Amino acid sequence: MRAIRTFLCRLSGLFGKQRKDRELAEELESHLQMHIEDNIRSGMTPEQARRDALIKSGGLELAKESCRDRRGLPVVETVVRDLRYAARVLRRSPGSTAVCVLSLALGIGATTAIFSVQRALLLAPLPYPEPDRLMVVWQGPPEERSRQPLSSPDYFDYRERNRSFEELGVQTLRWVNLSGDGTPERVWASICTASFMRAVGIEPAAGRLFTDREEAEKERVVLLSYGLWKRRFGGDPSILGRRINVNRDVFTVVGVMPAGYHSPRLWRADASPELWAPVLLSRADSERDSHWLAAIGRLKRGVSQQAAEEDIKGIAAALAKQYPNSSARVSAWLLPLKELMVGEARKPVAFLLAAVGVLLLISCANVASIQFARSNGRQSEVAIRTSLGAGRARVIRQFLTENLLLSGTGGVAGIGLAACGMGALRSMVPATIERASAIQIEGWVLLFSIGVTVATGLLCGLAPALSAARLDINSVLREGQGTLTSGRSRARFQSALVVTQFALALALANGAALMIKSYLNAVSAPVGFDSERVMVASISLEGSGYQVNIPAQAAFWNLLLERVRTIPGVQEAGATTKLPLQGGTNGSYLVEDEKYDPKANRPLIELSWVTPEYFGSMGIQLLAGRLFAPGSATEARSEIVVNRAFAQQYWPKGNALGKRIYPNTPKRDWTGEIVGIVEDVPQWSLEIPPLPEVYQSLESTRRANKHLIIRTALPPLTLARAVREAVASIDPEQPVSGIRTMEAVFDGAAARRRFNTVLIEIFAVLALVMVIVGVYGVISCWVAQRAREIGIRMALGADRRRIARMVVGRGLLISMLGILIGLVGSLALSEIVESMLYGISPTNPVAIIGVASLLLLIALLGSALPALRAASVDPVRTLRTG
Amino acid sequence: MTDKMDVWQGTLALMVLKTLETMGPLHGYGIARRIEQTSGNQLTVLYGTLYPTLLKLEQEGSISAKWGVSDNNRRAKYYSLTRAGKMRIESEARRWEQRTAIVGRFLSPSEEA
Repeated sequence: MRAIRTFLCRLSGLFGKQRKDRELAEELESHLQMHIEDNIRSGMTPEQARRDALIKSGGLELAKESCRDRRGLPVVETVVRDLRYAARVLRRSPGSTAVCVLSLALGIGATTAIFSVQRALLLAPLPYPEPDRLMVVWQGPPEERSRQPLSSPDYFDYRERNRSFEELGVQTLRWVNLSGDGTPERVWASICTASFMRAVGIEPAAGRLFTDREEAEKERVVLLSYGLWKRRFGGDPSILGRRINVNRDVFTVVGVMPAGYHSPRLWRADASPELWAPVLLSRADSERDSHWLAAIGRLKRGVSQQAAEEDIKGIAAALAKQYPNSSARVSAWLLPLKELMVGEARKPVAFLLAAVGVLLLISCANVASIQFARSNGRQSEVAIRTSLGAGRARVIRQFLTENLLLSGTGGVAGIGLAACGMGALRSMVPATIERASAIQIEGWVLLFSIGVTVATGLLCGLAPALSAARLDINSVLREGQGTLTSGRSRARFQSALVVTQFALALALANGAALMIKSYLNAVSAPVGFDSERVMVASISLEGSGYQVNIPAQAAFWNLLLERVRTIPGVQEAGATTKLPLQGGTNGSYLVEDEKYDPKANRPLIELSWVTPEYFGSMGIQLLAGRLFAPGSATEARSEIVVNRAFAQQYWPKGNALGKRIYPNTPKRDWTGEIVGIVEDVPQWSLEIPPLPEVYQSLESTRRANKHLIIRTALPPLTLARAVREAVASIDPEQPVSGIRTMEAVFDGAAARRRFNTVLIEIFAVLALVMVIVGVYGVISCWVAQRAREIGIRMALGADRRRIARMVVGRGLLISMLGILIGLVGSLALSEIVESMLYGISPTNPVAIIGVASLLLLIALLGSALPALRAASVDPVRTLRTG
Repeated sequence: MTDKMDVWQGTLALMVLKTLETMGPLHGYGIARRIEQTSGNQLTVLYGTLYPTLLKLEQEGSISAKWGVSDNNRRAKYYSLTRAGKMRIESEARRWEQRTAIVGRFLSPSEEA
């Protein structure tokens, strides 16, 4: 208690010092006067009285000094004094201080920004209770960990037989249409089991979750997301129990999920469900071939992932024996939910972190070099301080304080920069990355940045501080500053810093060049379709009247396409069940004479259902044969079109036309006859090469979700209104969504790579700018230290051009050394970089040579100005003053 | 050795508190004189020890200070005991007695024997 009070008093004692000094002086003075008066009263002469009082006082100044120490906190005061002094020193050379602060601000700012990304995407725990216990259950062939959803009977067996999970549930994501409350709207829905919601473990903000009983009895109940409740139902306070139209059926709202709740996205990264409804499953269902349920399980407390995986694999093995026809090659495995949600972001983020780390080091090298040069100019100051009794520790502290002030300023500016850039950064992060909206400068990020700031301050300041502390006072005071020998060792240190900068910059710039080339490779590779002037609109025909009713769906689409084709500006219109680059559905087929074998590992074939006009609308070229005729498909037989990859895989010699394929089942109850071959279109991403694909007629699928594709002569989005009207004229309850251009779809597919590339590009450019500053600084210093030598050379007849060449040569020498080291480093790191690249080798000579030449150019630029200055040295003056 | 002793810091605080307790509010000079008198002029109180001690006691909240006017019309800072200071005298005095008693036992071992 008393200690705290004392501390606070002393803390306040740091302020209003002058007034307190005055008071103390007055108090002591009055004390002295009283003493003198007493002495006089006891018979001394005024002279004697004064002398006696002064002797007995024991020294007025000493008393004042010890009171002063007692009053404030001496440590704080020295620090404040050091800071004031440091600020003065830094203000004296505003140019180099500005360069230091800017370098650090950029370095720390970039590091802060990327760490905030890492924190939000990778480090922060998932927003579910005890998220580490959440596991995704995937199926796949026993030898690979592929990510296939479960079949319904497998789910029931896993759930009943396992001993490892507290809850195990499944979901599938579907588009659903909402109607009846204003404009019809299409939203993503999570169609799931009650156990799925319980496994995730989030309670609704209002109402309740649906129950196992409601699921089993196929009751029509839904949970709404907070956003949907606010948006579509105006935040209706009596929403619980309200009946709403979902796919034209009446469902009762039983709960509203909390604001900000995101259902785990197991399957489609771009789908964010806004509605949850029970999935309709039947224990009697025996279709183990149809894999469509993504499963999530909450481990029992104390059960490890391995134990649970063994458990589930055991069940799968038993099922494989029991149902060899369907399950012979089906095993199961577990993936922690966190791994699923952040796994893909891990490598790029680590890559970016490494890049900003390099950038930060380069900026530190700049600051260290500048500070070193500054300390060089302060030898005599340090010598005088030391000879006046400043200890080594005191000198080191002064230098470190100065650097901490510098890095602190840079750090604050950097965090400010990062905070300003947050909005831009968030908007750059592709929407498919989980939790991008959580990227922000919060406590941990701030703490990290402060740590980085302090560390850079110490790192940059250590070398100047130690060298200043080691200073030999005598020699400095005797010889004056800037003696040749010590100057040399300093120049060596600075040159070493610049060599390091060049090495780091080469590695970074090379990485950036490779990333840029990879990006260009990815976006300029032929995609097999023409995205210019193509509009896409998505329409799902759901609910009674359409579902399971192929003729009704076909009638709608025929009518719609007919009406759309009459819209002015429409050149061609078609429909498809899936878009290029957006993933899709796959399955396996028996080709020609292949016999059904449950143990055989058949390749996956991508599946599309399209109208014949789709190919023209999308600009996909017909390579051979013809397109299927409308209305030619029957239950047992269809004309099909395959892509080039399919034709090449099965008939490399090129006689695919007229061949037949069958379903991969014991019965051959359907035949597809190949009538045409079309160009490959990448299905899953720009970087996964096109897989074999089969196109069938749109009339032969009951898939509800389809896309309208329109090729037009006009700016594509100007057709949106006419398309909406055409749909409404056929069915006013039918929502149209996802109206966008095909170019936007393409851009979305390139977004992740673009994000990484743009960031690394920015970092590389910053690094190069810092390297220019670095090489300029070190060569300037070198020239300054050699002014005398240059003067002598000139006096002896060296011409100015030769002097300039010598200086530039020095710059080039340093840079080449750095480039060489950087080259070796880059080669050593190439394996790590390789996984980030596309269509280019990490040791691509063109990139390395290009980057190395760029760095040489930078060395040239950075040393040009000092060279000019050296060439303009006046020999007479330098010789006289040097 | 001189015949007058300098006061040691630790004990001076207790002397100051005790002085203020018996004399009431007093300025620094008065405190010094009083302590010297009480010691039978065996102690000298130097500014350099007195004023830091006063400051410390004030920071700790045992005494408070106020500017006033002395008997012969001189502006002086008057120190007075606070409630916390009064309580502190008791505990400090007890501690002091314990300490002297312990040291005393070492100095007169014959009583033990």
